[in-house]
Amino acid sequence: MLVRGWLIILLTLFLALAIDLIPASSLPLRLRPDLVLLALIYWTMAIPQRIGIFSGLVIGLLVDVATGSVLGQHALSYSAILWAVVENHKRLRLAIFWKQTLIVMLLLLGERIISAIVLGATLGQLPDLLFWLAPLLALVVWPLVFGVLRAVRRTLRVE
Amino acid sequence: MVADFRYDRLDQLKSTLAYPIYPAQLLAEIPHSVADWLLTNINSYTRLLTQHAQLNEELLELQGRMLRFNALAEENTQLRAQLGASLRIGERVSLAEITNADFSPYSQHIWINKGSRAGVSLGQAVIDAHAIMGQITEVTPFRAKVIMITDPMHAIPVRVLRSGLLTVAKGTGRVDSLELPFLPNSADISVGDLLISSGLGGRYPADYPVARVTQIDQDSSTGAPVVYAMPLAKLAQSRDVMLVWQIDQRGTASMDADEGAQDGESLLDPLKLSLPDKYNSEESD
Repeated sequence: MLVRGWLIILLTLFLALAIDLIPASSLPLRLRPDLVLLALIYWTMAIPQRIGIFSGLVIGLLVDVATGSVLGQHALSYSAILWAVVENHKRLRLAIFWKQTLIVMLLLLGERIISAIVLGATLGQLPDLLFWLAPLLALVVWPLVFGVLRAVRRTLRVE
Repeated sequence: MVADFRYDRLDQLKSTLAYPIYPAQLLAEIPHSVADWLLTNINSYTRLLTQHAQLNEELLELQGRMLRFNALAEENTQLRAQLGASLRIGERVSLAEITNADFSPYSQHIWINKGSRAGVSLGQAVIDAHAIMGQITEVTPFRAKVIMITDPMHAIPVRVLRSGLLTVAKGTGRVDSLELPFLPNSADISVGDLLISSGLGGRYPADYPVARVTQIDQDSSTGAPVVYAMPLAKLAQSRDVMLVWQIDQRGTASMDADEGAQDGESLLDPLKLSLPDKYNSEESD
């Protein structure tokens, strides 16, 4: 049962990563928010006893390798954001839906800030406007992610 | 992060982590491959025929040109041998396909579908049918990351074909623009000049086209020229790229410099390359 739960969680994260990796040279695609992080936020909020800061670290390292960023950039930002989610998971669960969406958007913005600091330190310059606009789209994407993952969790009974 | 950024010690870890990622990368490429497959299969018979005829014509023309090129290359080799300069007999080229691309103002790179398993190595030059595109900055077993010449962190040593002026072309973060800083007032350069790779630094093969000068401004405070050039490679449009292996006179493909920052090309390398023949002829024959 425990193993099956892990497999399902990993599978959702894997799919999220695959979608994130679809080439994004055109403008609208560059605006998409980080699906892996959204999925991680969902799982942390729903089952913080299994998914949390450490998972963020490991998945972050994998995302770093997949996207070719400095090893640790995503690991750092993911684990920092997931720390905030673990600490407040009850509040986040009970929040009204639009409020929850707003908080998720702010979390994504936090991830952008951490990434910007790393990019600034390694590339010596700050990213452009599109980079900062991506969290806004979380307002649309989060309800989708939330709906899909909750359906997955309930029908497959991941606890 | 510091360890990764400064010392490259984590390469082993990175290539191990690349294995679990690989299926996700393949999955991400499916939509594109499906579209490709549909396009090739929907192509009509007559269209294929005309395309075939066209390609044949092109092939003939290029073969004709190659005849002259071969003679010139032969002559060039002989002349260089007489001068005692080191020989760069040529380059071996192999095709790769772009799997992912990112053209944002702070980082311009593409991913190609060949990695260390196909013999791709760090620092290798990548070209398309028109000109130099960039070089390999990261290699995983199945994929490699190519930094474009327009990346703001990248600079390529170039020569102005008309005047022989040696300089450096820096990326600007825009796909259609390179910048040539550090030019003196007296620099002999004008709009329309072709920039070719100079081969200094040993990173890029020499004499490949790079860009064409499009605009020359003047720095208002110093009066120094600020030159912009447009890359000739179709950076954001090509699907297929070519990897270049430089072949030295021993007939083995070798890469000169495997370490070092991509824009801090070592100035000592050209000296190494131009050592007289006798120094490195021991292993040959």
